Amino acid sequence: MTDKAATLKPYLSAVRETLTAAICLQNFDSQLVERHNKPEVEVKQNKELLLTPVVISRNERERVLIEGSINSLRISIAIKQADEIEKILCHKFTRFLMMRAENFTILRRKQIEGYDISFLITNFHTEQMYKHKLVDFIIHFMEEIDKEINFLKLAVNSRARISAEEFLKNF
Amino acid sequence: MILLETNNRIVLETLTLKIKNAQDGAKADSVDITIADFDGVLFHISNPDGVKTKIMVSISLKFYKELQEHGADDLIKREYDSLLTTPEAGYNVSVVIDLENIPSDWPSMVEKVSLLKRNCFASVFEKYFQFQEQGEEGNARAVIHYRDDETMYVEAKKDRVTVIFSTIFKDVDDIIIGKVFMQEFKEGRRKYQQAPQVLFSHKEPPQELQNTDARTGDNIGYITFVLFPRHTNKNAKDNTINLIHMLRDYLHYHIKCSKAYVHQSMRAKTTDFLKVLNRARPEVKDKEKKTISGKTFRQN
Repeated sequence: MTDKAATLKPYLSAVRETLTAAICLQNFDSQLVERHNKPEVEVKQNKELLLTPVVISRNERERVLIEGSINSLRISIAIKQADEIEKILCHKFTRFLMMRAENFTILRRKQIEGYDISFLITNFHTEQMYKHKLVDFIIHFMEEIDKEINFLKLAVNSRARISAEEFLKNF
Repeated sequence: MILLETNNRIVLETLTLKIKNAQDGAKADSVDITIADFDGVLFHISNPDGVKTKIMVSISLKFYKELQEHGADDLIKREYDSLLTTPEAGYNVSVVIDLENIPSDWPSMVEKVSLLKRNCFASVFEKYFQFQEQGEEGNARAVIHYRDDETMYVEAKKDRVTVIFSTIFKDVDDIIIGKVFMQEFKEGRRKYQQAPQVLFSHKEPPQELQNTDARTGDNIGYITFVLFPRHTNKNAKDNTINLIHMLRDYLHYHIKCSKAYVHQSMRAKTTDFLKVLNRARPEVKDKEKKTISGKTFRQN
């Protein structure tokens, strides 16, 4: 248990530092199509506009992929899923969030392969919102989602136990 | 509410209301209600031949034929005796209540009528409990297809009665949540020694059903209850029947409740996240200001 807690802080601070560096975005019109403005990290057409992708791993299962470019940043998170019930809870939760991507503005509707949820932040977002607060949000999200999945797993297990006991004690 | 009610509450309340009205001297109203219960069972409350002072309650079960093979008719006769009448068209059993001749113990009679479904099921169990009591072994297994794709098997041995439910999980997530529940059922014996032994088998039928045409599949589960004489003896059998015949519905009800709770919790968490995200937006400052001479101007 202490092992887990000990790796959490350095993991999150590494993610925070990398994000703070990568979130320096500026407006950049498309070089290939006139009058278009696309997030370069999604298009990936020009190598000179892309930064090296970075993967920060806490362990085999939990990792974060940060891909930067001149005008956009893509963050993909792989959430810890130890057993089957955590898997379905995680799947349900990320699907729930991704369906409401419009409300979240910075959330991507589909996750990147190999990860559970992805964010796309463009220069337009950083023009409207504080960068340090955006980074705060991502870190907060990473902490909260683990807590939430644990909480839901506990709720399902307690409900199972209570309903089994209520049923069996009547015999 | 954790445990499902054995009787049908709608039937109970409708009849109680009608009887109370009649007792207060109010004129009887016509009634025509069709009620759906678990396992595709239909109740129909109506006035036979338009006579408003008589109320007929009919029940239809798709698998009544199978129950009849195990003596359902006798048990129904035993329980409802004077109230029975020829079954309504399309229904299997009908009882009639005369509002002009209400017996003094009418609450217990109304309770009995609302237990119609349970009593239809009860015959199978009672028959096999008796086999076990008399030590008879080698009787054929009872097979009741109580739902479209789900079956119940009852078998009596010398020292126990096994009841096996096959159930289908329509949703993939249900399978996993169902497994969690069945794990807890299996371990319930540790806390309550008096509970029957519960076994669960996923995808394949349990040992007792090998070599029968029992279904297999990813979304199929088999729940086995091993009932010992302490559950099936004369004193305990009614209680046991009440609990056992509702098991499949109980399990699925709680699985759905869990999913609803998870959904509700996710919704709350999402609004939380949105609140935190919106903190990233700068506050809109009030741009309009006034000078001393009274002119208003806007600041950028």
